[in-house]
Amino acid sequence: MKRGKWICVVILIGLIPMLASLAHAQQVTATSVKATYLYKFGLYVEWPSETFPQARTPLVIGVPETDSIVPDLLAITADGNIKGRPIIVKLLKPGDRLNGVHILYIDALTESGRTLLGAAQGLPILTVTDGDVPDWRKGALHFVIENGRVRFEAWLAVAARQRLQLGTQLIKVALNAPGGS
Amino acid sequence: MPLRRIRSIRYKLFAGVGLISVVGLLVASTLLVTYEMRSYRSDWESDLQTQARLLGHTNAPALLFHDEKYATENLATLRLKPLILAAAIYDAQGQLFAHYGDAVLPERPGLEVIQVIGQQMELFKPIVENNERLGTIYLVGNYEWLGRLKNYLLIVLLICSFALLVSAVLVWGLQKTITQPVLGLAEVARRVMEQRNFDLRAEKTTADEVGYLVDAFNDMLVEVGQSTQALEQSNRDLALALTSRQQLQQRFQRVVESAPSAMVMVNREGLIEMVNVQAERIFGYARAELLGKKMEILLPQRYRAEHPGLRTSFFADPTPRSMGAGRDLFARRKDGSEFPVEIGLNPIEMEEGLMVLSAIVDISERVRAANRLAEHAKELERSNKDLDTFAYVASHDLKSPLRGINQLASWITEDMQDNLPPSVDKHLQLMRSRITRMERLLDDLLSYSRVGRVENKIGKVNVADTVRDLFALATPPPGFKLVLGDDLPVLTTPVAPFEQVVRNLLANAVKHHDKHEGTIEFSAQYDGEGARYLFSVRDDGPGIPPEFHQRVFNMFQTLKPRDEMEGSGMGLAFVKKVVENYGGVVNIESDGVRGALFRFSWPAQWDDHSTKGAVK
Repeated sequence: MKRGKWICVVILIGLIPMLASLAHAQQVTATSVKATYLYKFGLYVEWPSETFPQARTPLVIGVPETDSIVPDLLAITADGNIKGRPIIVKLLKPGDRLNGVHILYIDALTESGRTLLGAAQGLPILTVTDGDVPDWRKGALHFVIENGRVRFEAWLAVAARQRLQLGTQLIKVALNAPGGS
Repeated sequence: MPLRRIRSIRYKLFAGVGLISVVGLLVASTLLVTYEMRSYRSDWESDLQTQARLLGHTNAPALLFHDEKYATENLATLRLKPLILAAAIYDAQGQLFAHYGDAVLPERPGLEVIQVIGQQMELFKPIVENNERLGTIYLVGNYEWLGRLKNYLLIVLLICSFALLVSAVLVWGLQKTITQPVLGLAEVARRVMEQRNFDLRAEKTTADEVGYLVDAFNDMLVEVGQSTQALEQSNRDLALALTSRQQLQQRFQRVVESAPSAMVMVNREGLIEMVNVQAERIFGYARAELLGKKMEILLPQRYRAEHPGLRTSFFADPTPRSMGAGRDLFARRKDGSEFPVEIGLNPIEMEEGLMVLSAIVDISERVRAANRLAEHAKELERSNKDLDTFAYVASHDLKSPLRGINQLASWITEDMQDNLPPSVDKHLQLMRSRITRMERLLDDLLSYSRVGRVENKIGKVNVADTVRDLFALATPPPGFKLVLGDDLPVLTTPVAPFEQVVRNLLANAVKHHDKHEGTIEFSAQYDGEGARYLFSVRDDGPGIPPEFHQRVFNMFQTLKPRDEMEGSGMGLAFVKKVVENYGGVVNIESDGVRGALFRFSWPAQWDDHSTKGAVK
């Protein structure tokens, strides 16, 4: 009896890393990856100079307040910065103005998302879309799932319309980099 | 130092420069290679770092957005850089994210480090983006430092060899410039030493220190040559002097040896240094018995004490002189017998110092002869005295009866008066004439015997006047004349003998003349050499045949019968004796046909020694 008890303890101890790894795996979800990417895109995009009047002007990421990405995004960007700029996550309500937003994430399948995307047209805002939508509804960057992994597409024409310049390194790791659609 | 063992400056220079070049090249090469290898490594490190940075930067998005494919493709581009053997990217969790190459990769990334393992250089470098460590890049390079080192060493070796070669060529050329004059100088010096020829000169080819050295060397050669020449000349002179001195000494010894007198050479201490065979003979010693002995052994015992003092005084004033002037000197033979000697002393400067050379003549014979002569002289004097007495007595005693006979004859003539038959008268006259002749003969004989033994008065004689007076006394016939020569002197001389000579000659000339007229010439000629006058009496009478030229000077010699020619026959004998008594000669020149010339010489000046027996 006693021996069986010890065996159980050893097995349990051996299982701890596995369980931890499992827990971690559980934490790394598609949403959290997307939240991370959203945040890191700021490193490889060039905004017009007037967008950041000062060196410490924060980078503002706007997301609909109802989106599932919000908790992960807030967690990841809590202490982060992009090129020394603090990160601010702006939670958007339907009809909010997009003033001061630099990166806008929307689910293109939703109506509110389409509205926000429309509002961002012509503004120097990196539009990042998600969802299985036709190309013409995609933002400058568009998340896709490939082989179970989160990837993204880069739409240079869209970026150009938004007066943004995507970094070469970003384009190289994007799934495709068409000149426009 | 090996350099010291090299004998030639050429090779010394060559070896020295070579050594310096090699050391220099070695040091330079070591530094260069060290620097190059460090630089190589530094370049490699820098290269690898840069490469890692570049890859990190390029692959940061791949890490960030989990694009392993991109990372792998990106690393695959390293195939363009064959020196990169392997590369790997690890993610932030240390998991291998992408890799390139076949090398075995570390399972986990190491700390940031760059290190060399064997022939490879490996690097771990973190990939940081936006101050966030995204992962680690690992690079492995083919760091072929050994091959590089070998190549480099080969190049350095080639360069060094080339440099040495060039340096050798340059040094060879340079050493010619530097050492050629020095070697030339050394060569000349060697030849000078070998040939002893100081006329050789080094050629000056440069104006630098070597040129100055060449000048100095040549000047020195001139001086050495002159000194050597002077020295050799001096040596020759010395040898010559030595030889001539030796020859002189040998000649001196031969002269001494062959001298007719005994020769003994004595040094300051009185020791006999040299004797000749004559000395051996007269002293009866063998040479070996004399050499080195005190010379006093040659003196009679009575002289030995005082002799050293005499010798000292001679050395104090070493002049040639006769020994013991005015004294009778005697020497002593080995057997102890003594003999009279005459000794001449001569100082001789020999190599060993001042010596005295004594020439010793045994005068025993001379002394004996002198003694004999003295005895003869005494005998002669006594004989002369006897003769004188006899002559005087004879003439006196003979003249008395003659005068008696003459008296008787004159008495007979007076007594008989006219009764005397003519034949008797003639006989009586003849008798009286012969008595007169006999008396004159006795007078002349007496005079003759007194020649040289009677002291004659010295007076001034005016020859011209005297001749004139004597010519008158000769009562020449009226047809005779006297011719006197020019410059007849005035003599200071014994008057009577001179007048007797002149009177006899004049009387002779007048008496034997065969004519009623005649000329008699009297002249004089000075013979400076003999300090004499040569007087001549020339007549133009019948002359004297040559065969009688000697006889006429004998006593009682007349060329005509006594009765025919009045005379004693003593005249010319008397002349000859007087002239010879005064050191002169008388002679005749006549062909026996006509004329005769009598010549006699007479002292021009009178002194006590002008004649030997004139004062006796």
